[in-house]
Amino acid sequence: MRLLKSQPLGPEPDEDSSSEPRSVADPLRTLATRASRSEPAAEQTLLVALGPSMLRVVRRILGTRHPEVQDVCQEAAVALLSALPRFAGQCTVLHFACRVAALTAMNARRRAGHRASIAGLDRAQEATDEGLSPAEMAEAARRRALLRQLLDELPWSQAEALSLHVVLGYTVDETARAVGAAPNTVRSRLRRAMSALRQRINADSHLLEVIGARHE
Amino acid sequence: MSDGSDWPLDLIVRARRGELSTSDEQRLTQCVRSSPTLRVAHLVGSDFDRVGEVEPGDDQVVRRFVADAIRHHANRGRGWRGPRRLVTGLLAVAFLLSGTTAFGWWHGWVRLGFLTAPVVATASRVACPTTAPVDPPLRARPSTGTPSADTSSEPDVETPSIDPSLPTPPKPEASPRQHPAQPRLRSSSVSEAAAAFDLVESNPVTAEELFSSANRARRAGQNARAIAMFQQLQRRFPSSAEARLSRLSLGRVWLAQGRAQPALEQFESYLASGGPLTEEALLGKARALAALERFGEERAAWQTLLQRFPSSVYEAQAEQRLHQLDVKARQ
Repeated sequence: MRLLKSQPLGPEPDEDSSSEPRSVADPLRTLATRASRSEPAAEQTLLVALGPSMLRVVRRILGTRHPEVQDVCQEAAVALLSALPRFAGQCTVLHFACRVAALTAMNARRRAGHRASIAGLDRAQEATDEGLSPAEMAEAARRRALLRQLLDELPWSQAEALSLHVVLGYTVDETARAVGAAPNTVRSRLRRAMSALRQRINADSHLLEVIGARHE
Repeated sequence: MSDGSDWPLDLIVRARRGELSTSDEQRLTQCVRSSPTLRVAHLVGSDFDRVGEVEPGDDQVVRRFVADAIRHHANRGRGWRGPRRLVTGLLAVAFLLSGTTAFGWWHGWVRLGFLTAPVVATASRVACPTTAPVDPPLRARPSTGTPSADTSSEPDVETPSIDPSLPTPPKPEASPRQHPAQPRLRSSSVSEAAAAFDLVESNPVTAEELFSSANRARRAGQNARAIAMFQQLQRRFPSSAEARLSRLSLGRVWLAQGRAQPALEQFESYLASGGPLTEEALLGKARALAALERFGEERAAWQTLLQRFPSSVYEAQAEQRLHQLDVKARQ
């Protein structure tokens, strides 16, 4: 195991280890440490600071107008508080919280199992992008729905890497630190996940034409 | 390729953040043009950058789920830790006692008292923890969303490199859009909030001192710090005159930050308790309602201001805004 899962929040480890993900400077670290000791004021302050980011993550994965957004955010916040004592500082607290939110949201989608209706909701409710023509908005919504469906079906490790990297926009190193894996492992997962995404798009003749990926 | 920033997928991420240099942009353009997979990644990533942004009323949503989560977390901690530890301890006693007895019989020993004493002591420590709490285990990832760091079983696989010398590229979007790695909550705001929290929590002061410090922070433009102090003041000294006044100050800070809903609550709270700055509180309330586009209530707030303070310094402003609201209503 690359990271000490059971290691509580504490002083940051040495940064001279070349193979281990490095600890990162983090303004929320002290607050997280205090929250991990169940200090109510620290828990409140930390969650209020992280809440908007977690909300954004959940919306991206569930869909902006999904009716369970708030419930899933609450579930993610509880999961974050439970996980804080075991957070080893391998990434920023913000990235850790966003990862918890992403996993919780993906889990909620899989639990729901109403993929077709969720995809329909995605298309119907998110066609509000600015600066795009109605056709472009529809295509963007279609691609988002397709990727979300893929997140429901991929193996967890690949779905997680895909969500952090493509949906949330983390670099490979940031993703690796967040999930506690080697960068090459994350690249491998991403390669497989992107391959699956490409196959999905290849199966959708309209999207294929729009993207121009026909000759892949 | 050891440097993650050189990897084409990372170029896409940096492009989404608006961090690419001209040469990086050219390189990304080549990569995207040459690889449909990268083109898909770039396109889909940009699609997601367009959704999920902050919306009006989000502060209320955050406040609600944070409060519910804290309550739920606290209840869960109280409800299950004790019984779970007790059951674990009793099982440990039973298991170890039976094992020790069997071991003793096997060797023909009858010194069970000697053997079981330390076992019972250990088990009782498990069953009755003293001060150090035992953290609940992380729930399994597929069922909860709590992250796990166990990744050792998956082998590293070589990632294919992309030949940058492939055909010409469509210009990539280097949109500096918001995304979770760079949240709308600026890092400086996070620092300020964390610093303010530490400062306030570690330095107990009187209501007067806290109010003065908060106002100094507000005047210095340190809004996050000021907000933390005003909130601390209201929490610690809820019945003080400073706490009542701070509702007006906090409302103004939030209104200036575009957080109209909490600002409105502060102004209404001040008006409910009454005070010498009712005129200003009504002004703040009207502005907050305008920001929330609750125009009917805004009109009522302006009218109340004019009725209660006919010679108010805000009279002209109120009249002008009422006129605008009339025009809007006619349209």
